[in-house]
Amino acid sequence: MSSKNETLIDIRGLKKTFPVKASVFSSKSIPLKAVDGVNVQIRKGETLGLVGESGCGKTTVGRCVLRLYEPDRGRVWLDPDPAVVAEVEQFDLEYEQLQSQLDDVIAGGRIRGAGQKSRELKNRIRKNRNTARRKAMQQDILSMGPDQMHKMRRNVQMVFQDPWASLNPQMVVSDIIGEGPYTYGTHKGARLNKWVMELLDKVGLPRNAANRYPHEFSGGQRQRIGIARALALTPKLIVCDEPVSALDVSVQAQIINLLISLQDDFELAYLFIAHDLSVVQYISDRVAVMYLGKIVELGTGEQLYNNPRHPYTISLLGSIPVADPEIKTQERILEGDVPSPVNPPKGCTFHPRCPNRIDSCSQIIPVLEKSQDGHVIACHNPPNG
Amino acid sequence: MDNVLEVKDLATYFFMHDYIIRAVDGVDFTLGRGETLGIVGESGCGKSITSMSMMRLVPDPPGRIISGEISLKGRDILKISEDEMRKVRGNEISMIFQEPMTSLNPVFTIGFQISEVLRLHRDIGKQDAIKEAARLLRMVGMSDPEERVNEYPFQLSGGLRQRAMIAIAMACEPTVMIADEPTTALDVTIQAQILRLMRQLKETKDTSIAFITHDLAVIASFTDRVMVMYAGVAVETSTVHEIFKNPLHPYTQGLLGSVPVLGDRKVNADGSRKLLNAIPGSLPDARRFPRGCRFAPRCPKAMKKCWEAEPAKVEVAPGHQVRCFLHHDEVRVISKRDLGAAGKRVLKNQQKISGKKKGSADGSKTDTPIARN
Amino acid sequence: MKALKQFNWRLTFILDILAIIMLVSGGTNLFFAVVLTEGALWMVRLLWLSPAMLSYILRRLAQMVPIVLAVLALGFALIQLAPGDMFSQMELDPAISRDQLEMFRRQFRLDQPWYAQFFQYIWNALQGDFGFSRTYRAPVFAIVGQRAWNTILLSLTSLVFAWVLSIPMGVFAATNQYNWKDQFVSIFAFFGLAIPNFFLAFLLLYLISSTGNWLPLGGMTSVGFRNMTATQQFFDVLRHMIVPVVVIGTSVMATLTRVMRGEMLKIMNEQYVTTARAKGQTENKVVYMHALRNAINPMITLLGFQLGNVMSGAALVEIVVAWPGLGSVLLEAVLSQDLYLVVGSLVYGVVLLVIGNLLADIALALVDPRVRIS
Ligand SMILES: Nc1ncnc2c1ncn2[C@@H]1O[C@H](COP(=O)(O)OP(=O)(O)OP(=O)(O)O)[C@@H](O)[C@H]1O
Ligand SMILES: Nc1ncnc2c1ncn2[C@@H]1O[C@H](COP(=O)(O)OP(=O)(O)O)[C@@H](O)[C@H]1O
Ligand code: SF4
Ligand code: SF4
Ligand SMILES: [Mg+2]
Ligand SMILES: [Mg+2]
Repeated sequence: MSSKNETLIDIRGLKKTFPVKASVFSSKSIPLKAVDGVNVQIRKGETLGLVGESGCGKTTVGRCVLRLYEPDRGRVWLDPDPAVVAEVEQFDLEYEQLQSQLDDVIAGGRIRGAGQKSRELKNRIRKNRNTARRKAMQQDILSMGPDQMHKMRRNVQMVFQDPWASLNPQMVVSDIIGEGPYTYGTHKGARLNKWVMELLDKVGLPRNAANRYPHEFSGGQRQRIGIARALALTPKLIVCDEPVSALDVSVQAQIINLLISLQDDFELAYLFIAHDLSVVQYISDRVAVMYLGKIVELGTGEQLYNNPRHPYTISLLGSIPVADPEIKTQERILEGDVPSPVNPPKGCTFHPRCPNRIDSCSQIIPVLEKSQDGHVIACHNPPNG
Repeated sequence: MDNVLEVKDLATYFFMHDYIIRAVDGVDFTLGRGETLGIVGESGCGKSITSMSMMRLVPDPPGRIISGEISLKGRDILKISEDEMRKVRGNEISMIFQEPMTSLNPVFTIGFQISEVLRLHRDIGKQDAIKEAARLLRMVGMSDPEERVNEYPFQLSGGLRQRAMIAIAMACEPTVMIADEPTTALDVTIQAQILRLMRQLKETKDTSIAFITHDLAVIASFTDRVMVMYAGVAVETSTVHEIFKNPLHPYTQGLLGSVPVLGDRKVNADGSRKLLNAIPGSLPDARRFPRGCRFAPRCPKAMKKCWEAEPAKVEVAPGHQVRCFLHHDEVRVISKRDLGAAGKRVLKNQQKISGKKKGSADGSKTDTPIARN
Repeated sequence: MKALKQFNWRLTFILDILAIIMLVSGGTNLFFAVVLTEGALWMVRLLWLSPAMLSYILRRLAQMVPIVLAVLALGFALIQLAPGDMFSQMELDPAISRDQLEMFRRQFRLDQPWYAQFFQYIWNALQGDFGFSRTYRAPVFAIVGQRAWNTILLSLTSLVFAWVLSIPMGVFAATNQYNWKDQFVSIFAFFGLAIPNFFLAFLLLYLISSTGNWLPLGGMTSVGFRNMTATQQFFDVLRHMIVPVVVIGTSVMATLTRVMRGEMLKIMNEQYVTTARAKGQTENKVVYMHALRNAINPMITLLGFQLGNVMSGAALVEIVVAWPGLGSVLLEAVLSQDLYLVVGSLVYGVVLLVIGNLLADIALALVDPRVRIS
């Protein structure tokens, strides 16, 4: 608990678009903004929850952190040195300026000297990018070369949603779990074997599971195998993408308990992605609520539950049925569906469904603002203050 | 409250090549007019097969309803002919399913799929049926219903598809609607919309609903009574208040302890992290249920006799039934069920495989529990 | 715009018929009349129903160009690499003088460097001139064009035959899964796949000739075809087609039946089939309306692929039953080293295949709303 104030992962300005085909017959593709400028920190040993309706970009954030997707923009600092971050930040600022100058020049059309100027700017931009990359290389996951990536993977691991598809069906469990330590050479021979057995004990699987294939296990057991595999390199962060969504309630509870006790044993940090607010709230220290590729509210679990401030969070909480027939929740049901991320609404992307909308909402994009207790929201007109 | 549906001792088995899956094996419940019964249990415990049995749509072969009685307004629908049963489906009992993505036919328009059920059970022309379909779409809260009738399912979002499914299910104003996890695949916000819609419809049309889910919170907020299923049997049935306030069966208690409740305290008094009250282990293999109480391997309160005999269902309070030795000592008597020729052959094979040849011939003569191993 | 969409566009087919009648009465060949009107009117229809699809089709047609060019180049390379040229054999003929040969060669620009010849060849090919067949002493295009229609006739009839039989058989097998009826169909399909086409052809011919020649053993028409009435001609060709169609159709039918069975089995397990049953729909409607409509789509996807199968199958069978199609002409051309004829028939076959594939894709788009509506 002592280390909980040190930053382990610092995600800045993360953006990711996917090209989607306009229609079956067309050859043009339009960008789908899956993640549109996400800033968030994960501290050492902390669980950061990430919630939101399906399609709002939770998985994409998780996968970008491991570079399973290649983001368009942004930085993901791992164990950052503040001095380096500040320095690179300067370069990034300069880059933004240069880029906008270049855009102006290009927009200006073919006037005399424009070609010369744009070539000059492009040159400076290239230099700027190269220097920034060189400086950021050791710590920014998104700038890392293959060597640094290899090192990074020891510290950041992932557990996937689908316990049926995420394990190689051709490998026995001990190979699945032992693959990481074997390739990184952290454990060898008999010690590797012992380590795999230890991990099986930790995740609550029988030792004889080691020589069986994934298809011989139930969904909950497979998720345990996936967790053991992620743990095998004693990482600092595990990205859990909906690890319990495909499981039954009783098995879900077992896995949540397992994740909680492992966190204490291994000093792990989790990025815990789920769409079920009660699960996220239960396991997380802090929770980020996402809507259409952006974080709209971020606070501790208690803050979010007791004092939700963003209209979307409030509606989300109001939609969740309570497991107590005595309590009749006052219904605050959101109307309509999440708009398509291909052309999200202007201004605040939530404004078409927002009960608190004011005029400026459809014009100006709200930015995340912090109140003194660390509770962050992006809203022009939050209810109750 | 008069009962529109009574299910008694329902058993549906799947006769596979060399084993029998007892998917549903002793389920009874009643459904009053306008009442909502929640059916909860883990995946694979027989919820869907129970509902398919009510529609008589269990895939045969390999499945067969081998015993029981399902009386709809006093008429046993297990005894009527297939032709008569077709007049019941979609008309008196209708159904919605879990996956709104796959439960509508992708090559027909929404309007066609709604009018189909109307034309099957009502004396109505093609054009009128489409008009009626548009009216139904408006009823389930879709905007521009006149245009929606010409759209295909892939043009609608998950929530809208589920609304279209509800329109199909409500088209003939059925007595009973079976909803098999209608909101599991949806986001919470869309789930709230759909639940509100179903609540409104239920109140205005006085429809009885059998609502299957594994989400206890949905059960708490939506149903009047609850049946908890485990490994093919109904282990506890009572009003929703009783189930949540005074759960008697250890499995029900375990389920309730498994769900994190929003706003729960996360640390114990001594500062350590609080864990959920999870049930250990997982559902037994449907091919080989344990000999005694099927929950015994996971039950924290299991006693010696729990491993030897199956508890019977008893009524501990009016309307509150439990199947557990903690609350009664009665043993469930398993009568010889008519498995038919196929079943007997499978049984014989099973006995051969397990090598227990002792009196395999009289296996079908006496009232022995079937296929225990 | 909305009124336009609600207008039943199928009514515009009347226009097609009118246009065709006008063209034919104006003296155009029936075939060209159909191709012309349908081509033009479908363009207009697409422009109106789905411009995206029109541009897709145009793009696909544009993509055909490099393929055809590549085939042409290949053919040209074949001709160039072969020893001698088309007049080499004439050198042995004492009746033709050296000067005459030189003149021929100049006429055909064979005295020019290879690249000039290549562009000339392409230029000519684009105009439908694929050179001159030595054996037939006629332009390649004329020979191949006529033969191609016979092959198309044979292939399409075989496809229709295969489809008409395999769909009910596949459905029948799927709805009787694992009992003897299903097994029977499977065995039948297995034999269809296992027996080589030419063997089946010989077998049939043997059976027919040993039971009294009740069907023609080869060719496409009987002696005296020219003197028959149109109906008689139709039935004459039909009788000649039976053996090759059965032979080609059987192997295609075997594949299709298995695909259909698998597809139906998959779809009968889909949730929407249960939905249909839960509505109280009869089992027949469930199978033939709800399931079959969906099972057909992958079959149409296969269509383009099968076109290739059928045409190559036809090529072999044509030789056995002496059907005057592309296959037999290709064999003759290869045997007599008539290279321009070889290349000409290859190019023709490839173009037919590519167009067939495109048509199959369009058919898929028309039956599947997920593809049709973008
Ligand atoms: N067609 C079938 N053939 C053989 N066994 C089947 C078949 N359908 C279901 N079963 C078995 O019957 C049992 C009950 O299945 P059922 O679908 O009713 O579960 P469920 O409670 O609805 O689960 P879920 O929550 O996953 O929907 C399971 O053990 C299942 O494996
Ligand atoms: N590989 C991909 N190609 C195209 N679009 C994608 C891809 N992955 C995700 N998307 C789109 O990006 C958006 C965010 O997706 P995702 O991060 O998976 O959401 P979540 O995990 O919150 O449900 C969605 O609209 C989704 O359709
Ligand atoms: S910015 Fe405006 S529209 Fe967006 S959440 Fe706040 S009040 Fe609603
Ligand atoms: S009968 Fe025994 S094993 Fe079964 S639930 Fe009751 S106490 Fe537990
Ligand atoms: Mg996701
Ligand atoms: Mg189910």
